Amino acid sequence: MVETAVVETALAGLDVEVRVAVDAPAFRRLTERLIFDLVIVVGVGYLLSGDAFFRRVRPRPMRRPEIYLITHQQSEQTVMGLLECGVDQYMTFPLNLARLRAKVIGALERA
Amino acid sequence: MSLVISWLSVALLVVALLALAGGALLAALRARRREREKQWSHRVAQSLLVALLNDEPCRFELPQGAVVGRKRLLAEVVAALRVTVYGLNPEPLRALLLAEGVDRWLARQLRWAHGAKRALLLKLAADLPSMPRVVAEAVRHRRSTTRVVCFAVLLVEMAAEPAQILRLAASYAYPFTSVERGEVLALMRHSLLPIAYRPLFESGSENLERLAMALVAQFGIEEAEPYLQAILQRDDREAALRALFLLVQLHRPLPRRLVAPLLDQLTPCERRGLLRRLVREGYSQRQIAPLFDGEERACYARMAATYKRTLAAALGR
Repeated sequence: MVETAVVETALAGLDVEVRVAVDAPAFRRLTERLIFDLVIVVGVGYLLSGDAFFRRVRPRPMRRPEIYLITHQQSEQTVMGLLECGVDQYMTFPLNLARLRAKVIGALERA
Repeated sequence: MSLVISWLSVALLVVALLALAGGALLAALRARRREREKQWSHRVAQSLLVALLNDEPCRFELPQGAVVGRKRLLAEVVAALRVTVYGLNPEPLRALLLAEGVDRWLARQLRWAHGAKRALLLKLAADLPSMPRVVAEAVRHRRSTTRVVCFAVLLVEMAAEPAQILRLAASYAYPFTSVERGEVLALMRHSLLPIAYRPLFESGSENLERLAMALVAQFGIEEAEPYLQAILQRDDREAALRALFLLVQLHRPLPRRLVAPLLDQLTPCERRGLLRRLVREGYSQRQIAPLFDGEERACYARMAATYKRTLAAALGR
């Protein structure tokens, strides 16, 4: 919960609509109704759960929306594996809020 | 008699139903309490973070709300914020915790807790800004017979004095496990300490050497190869194995004169495990031929062919 609050606070004041899904079923419901410009995933648990996350979020063969992953995992192999799966930006905790905000602004301008 | 038995059955049934209903009610109340605590923690985390980022910590007030264990929740929120956000000034957080009496609460909890619960509280103390009363209470348990408590005290001491992290790591009574190594490295990252691997290898301390190897693995430091080759030639089988697998992970050459004596000590199962790691790292047949006999080389060729089929299938999709 604190990690989600941190990411929400980093995006406060931006001219964007932020939706938060606290678990996999909530995320599935959101993706059924909405198309996102950017998806920020906190933690790797959902990506490794067996749910077809990338196929759910991105229609083939598009590379949109961009997917940012923020996690505590530092291992080189984990990072490489997730980048190969389709993650666009990989960030680790502790998080630099100003950097996250700047990346999000840049991604939304490109979208 | 049959009437007695039937009344007894009814009574048992009623008691069982009441117990079920009571259990369900307790579970519902617990779930409601957890939800209230989550909402309260979320509000505290957001408003505290906004106050800190705007440099207005004095404007922060704890939100009202009926939650049990506010001091514990506040401590957990502050600890989570410190672990999650880069560059937070610890002074306003320390002042807030002292003003709310969290240090007195935590010191009291540490005094009366035992075993794993004490270790968890110590870990919480290590994640919070250092408070003198808590550190003084933690240090009393330095010679605990419970290893997790000893390590948690070490973390508290390291968090209180980041400049002494390496000295404290070298003086720890046990060799670090992989989990303990990870915790120490995370603490070093949060403390923004510049970390150099060479002095750690040259220190002569087993724990500092393990930290150095973890750093080399994490950042892929190929320049550490001479140190790893020196460890390979030691009599310490465990350390030599760790060094060998780290060289494989870095995809460094494996000279036969260094590696063969260690390979002779391995069981067939361990040799097979090494083969699998070599395949995964992409070593060629020619590179591993001097180290293994004919049957193992054939096994290696089969494993490599399996990996190549997976790669071709992924590309063709």
